[in-house]
Amino acid sequence: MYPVDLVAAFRAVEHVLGAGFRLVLLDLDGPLQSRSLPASAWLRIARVAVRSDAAIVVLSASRIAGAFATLSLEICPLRRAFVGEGGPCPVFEGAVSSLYLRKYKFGPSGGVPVDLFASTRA
Amino acid sequence: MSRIACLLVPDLCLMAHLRLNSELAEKPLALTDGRAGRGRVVAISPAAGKAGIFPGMAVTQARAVCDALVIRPISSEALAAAVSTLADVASTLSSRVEIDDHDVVFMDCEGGGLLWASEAELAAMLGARAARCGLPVWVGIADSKLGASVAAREGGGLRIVPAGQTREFLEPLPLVLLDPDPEIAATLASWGIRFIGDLAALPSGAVAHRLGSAGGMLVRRARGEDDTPLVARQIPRTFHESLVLEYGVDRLEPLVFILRRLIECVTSRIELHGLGCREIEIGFDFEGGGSDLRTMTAAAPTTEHKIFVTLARAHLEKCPPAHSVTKISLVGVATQIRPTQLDFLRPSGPAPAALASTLARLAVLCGPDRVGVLRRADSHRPEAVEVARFEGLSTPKQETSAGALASIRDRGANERMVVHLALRAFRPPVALEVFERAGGLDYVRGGGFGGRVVRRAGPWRLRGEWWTADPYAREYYDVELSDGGVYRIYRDVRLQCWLADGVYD
Repeated sequence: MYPVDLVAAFRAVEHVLGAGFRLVLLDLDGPLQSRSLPASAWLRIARVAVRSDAAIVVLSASRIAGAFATLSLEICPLRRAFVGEGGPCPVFEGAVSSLYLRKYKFGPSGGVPVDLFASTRA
Repeated sequence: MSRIACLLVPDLCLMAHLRLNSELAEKPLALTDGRAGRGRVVAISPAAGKAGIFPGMAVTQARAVCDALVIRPISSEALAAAVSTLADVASTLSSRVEIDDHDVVFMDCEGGGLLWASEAELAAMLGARAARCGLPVWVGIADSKLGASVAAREGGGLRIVPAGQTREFLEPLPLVLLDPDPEIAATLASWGIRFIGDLAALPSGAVAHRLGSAGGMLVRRARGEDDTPLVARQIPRTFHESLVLEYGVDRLEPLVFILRRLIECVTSRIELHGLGCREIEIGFDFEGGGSDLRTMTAAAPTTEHKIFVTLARAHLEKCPPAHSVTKISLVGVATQIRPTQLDFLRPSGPAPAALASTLARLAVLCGPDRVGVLRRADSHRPEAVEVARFEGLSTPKQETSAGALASIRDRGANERMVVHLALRAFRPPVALEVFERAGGLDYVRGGGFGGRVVRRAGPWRLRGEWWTADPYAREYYDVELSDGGVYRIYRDVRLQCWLADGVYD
């Protein structure tokens, strides 16, 4: 679904969790990103998730859930891979990134990052 | 021997009106056979009776007697809806239900022994369910339709005639209960026949010889035999409700208030059949002529009237009626609520009913065209997608998750994980300013991002739909900008403009 604003998005998440879904993906990186929500909204939605025995995965450009997130992962881009540069038609092959565990409420955070290669052909 | 139950609503005209206007239950109310204060009073509420109003009075006379009298025209559509509702109630307990010409409902009680312990319990269940629909009902149960009908009228609430005793039940009752033709009734009265038992004792052939076929039929009815068997009606797929308003309504809140009651009636009737309401059509008749028809479709079949009320409110706020509304007609389209098969290996998802109502609520919240599943549209354009209806949860391929787990487990500590790179599409595409230098792309800005082009891939030329009035011709590039992002942009060759198609996430 494509809610028109952030408030509608949060209300939609509550509806979806109330229906019995166990995993909800909330993509806030885009038009919805520009708006900010009070901490009480995150607290409320976190409580709904706990009560529904469900998980909410939030995608955003920055850490917006703050203290209410149980697990926080950050993907840092390292470099872009272009093939055939200097030739007549170079091709964008993908991006190399590192995945960091920034926060985990029930265990240690940090550690060795995991290298990811996001390929356009995978 | 068959057992038939008869359901009838006493003072049906009044009850059909009060069913849709429950706020008038305590007020003096008179239903008339004409509109706009003309005609005569046909039915009255108890409060109107206490105020001195009686059926047959002229409307002007009734107004003079009681200032507070509420006068409404009688509505044949409201009557039909009330009788259909009664049949819907009967359908919850029997598959064979008939509506006869006198607005009486008959149901076949045979074979329902598992649903009720006794016929008294059946009658109590029918009464309770009809009351929930706003209709007080009288129930009679006998061996035949006629016996059940007379039992319901005579019982004044509940009357059960024991099996095989219908004729004995009818014998002491007055002949007028058989609704004889007036001419035949006069002849029988001149013969001194005033009770049903007297007529039943006569030989039917001799009576038919003297009074015609109608007389013979009357004798058979007096013996408790039916003229026609019970003819079951088909389960309806559309449910109608309508309300004529006393004066034109042009404001949204009163209109939604009235709609709420009508929608509640329709959804509750659909729920009686174990179905869900998928679509509601609302028709408005305007003051001074003209009409309008609105269709509201829920994302999934549901029996929650609040969802349709919210849909109707949203629709009316967006497109209010052009004139004052004097009549509202509502048609609910019923359909099966889709059952879902649970997966043995996966946790149970949402229940079908909960999923249906959730989809409908989300459609109200986000808009019907923003909830669903993205599917490719029948087009050659790369961005051609459409939002299709969400039909339920699909079972993922088991090997996908198993394969992914195996690949993670087997990977070495320093080995890199390969995933698919996603393109976050901009819809609609974002207009850009692109500066070129020495035949190449130099700088890009627009849509909240911008920077010098560090590296680029492309162009890929794409053109199509040249056989239509709206062809496209584009040159696509993947550009890495100095802001760190990689974007897919294209130049529209026909319109000579640059657009951003998306960003690699």
